[in-house]
Amino acid sequence: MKKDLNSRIYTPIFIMPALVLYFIFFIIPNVGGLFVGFTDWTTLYFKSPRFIGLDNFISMFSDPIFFKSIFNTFYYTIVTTILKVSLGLIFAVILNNKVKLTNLYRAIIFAPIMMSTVVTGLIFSAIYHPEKGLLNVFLGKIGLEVLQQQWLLDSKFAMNSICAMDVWMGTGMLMAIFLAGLQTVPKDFYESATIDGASSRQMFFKITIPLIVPSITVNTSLGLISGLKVFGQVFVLTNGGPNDATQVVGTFLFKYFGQGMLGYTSAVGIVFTIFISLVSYFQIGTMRKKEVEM
Amino acid sequence: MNKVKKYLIEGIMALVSLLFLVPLWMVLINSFKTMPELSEFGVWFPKEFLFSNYLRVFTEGHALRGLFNGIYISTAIVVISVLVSSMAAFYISRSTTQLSKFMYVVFIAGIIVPSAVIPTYMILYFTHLTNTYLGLILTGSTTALPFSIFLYVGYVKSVPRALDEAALIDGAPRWKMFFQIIFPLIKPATATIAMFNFLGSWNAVESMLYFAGPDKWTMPMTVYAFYGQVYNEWDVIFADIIITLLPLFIVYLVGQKYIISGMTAGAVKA
Repeated sequence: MKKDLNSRIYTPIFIMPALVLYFIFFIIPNVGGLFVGFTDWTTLYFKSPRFIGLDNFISMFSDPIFFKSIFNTFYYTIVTTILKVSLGLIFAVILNNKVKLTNLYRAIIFAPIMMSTVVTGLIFSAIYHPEKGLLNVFLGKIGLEVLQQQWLLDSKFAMNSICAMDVWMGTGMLMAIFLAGLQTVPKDFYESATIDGASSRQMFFKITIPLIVPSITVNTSLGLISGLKVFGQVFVLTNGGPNDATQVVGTFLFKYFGQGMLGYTSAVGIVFTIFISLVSYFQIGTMRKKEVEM
Repeated sequence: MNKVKKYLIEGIMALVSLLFLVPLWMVLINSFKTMPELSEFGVWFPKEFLFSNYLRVFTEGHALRGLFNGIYISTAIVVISVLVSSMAAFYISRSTTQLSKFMYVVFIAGIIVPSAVIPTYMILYFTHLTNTYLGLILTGSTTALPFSIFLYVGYVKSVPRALDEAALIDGAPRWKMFFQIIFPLIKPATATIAMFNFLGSWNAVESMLYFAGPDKWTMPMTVYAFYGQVYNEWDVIFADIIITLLPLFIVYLVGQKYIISGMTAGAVKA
């Protein structure tokens, strides 16, 4: 009787519109991409794709630029995730202790999240501009000409300059999530710890950290996933240059897509999709185990 | 000692905030200068405030077209994704069938698995939807689905089931029951999701570059197109950046609370 009512009220028709969209523009492309990756499909010979087995994967894995983009993507992901998570946590802890202008600071640090990657990228192109850029001008004004660099044109500095911009853009989001997490920690935990004579350092590592593991999980995942998927930041600032020094998988794909190599780019996409999915799956799994049950 | 520490922390936060404000200030102040005065991108006031750069943004930079494209595409994506995902989430969180559990997993997988851009391009190509508003709207709505459904499912659970049954006993058809009784009750989730999806599609980069040309691009992307067009004329670029950021910052000042809670709500629940 109960079951009858259940299926009478809740009809699968409700899910159909979403499913149709999702099927056409998400499932078919992801499954179809698996097949395209094994063909030599190009926009030039659009009507005659041929099955070429593992050729795309073989040429991918014998392409030094591909490995360079994988390495750079890793580097970018790890550096930005560590910086964003730790800075976000530090800012959140400070602001949670009710500094005078907490709301103002929070609003300012969070603001870049509103901005498009492309617009932020252009602003930072201006900051890193070799002759006129704010950064070099500032270094010159305070007498530190020795530190002036060709921030985006020198392969030694280009990648880190892009990472710095990503930290500027993304820290606010993680900080806001940490702040929300910190508010779930019961205040009396700290009170009783203070009575027991715990130092603020002990309280941070013994109370705060274990209780905000869920936000740490979420923030690390967000950092890793957005890092691995990076595209806009690199695209605008350097487009992979100089000399492929900042080539990441996102820009690598766009470059070959621009050359019309549909089969090859799909193959790269497959490898990368599997990779991102595995990373996020395992990362969420391992962090979940460390959560403190409340 | 404690007081010193307090001032130190306050000072550090003020300095950090400055790091976030200076880039924006630099853009704003230099947007009123012209190239000869812009021998360096400093932070000082211009000799006189010139608005000629702003005029050029509108006459040459297609700022209004970008504004129109952005509002059109993003609003359509918000409407479609809100309607479609709230309905799907209602079924998923209410029905106890195997099908609904399976569908939940299928949709949530989309949060982790990235969308396959190139095969999607080919689907748009075969359906003659490349470089069309419809193509951008449909792909954008699809991208928004997994996260929207995820947020809605959590929220629908807080609405008592008894309401559904009462409405049906009164003889209302199922769609009416959903849109007249349930949908108004999940408004907070709708506000969050609408905000999130609007920003997401307004600021989209990859879908614009892969699926459409500059005449369909949203406002932030028109700045990029303009940058390619005028190349080294940073005075106009700065003005264009300000024009692009202005609507967003007005929204931000008004709805900051909702935006922050919206952006973090899903993440904390996850």
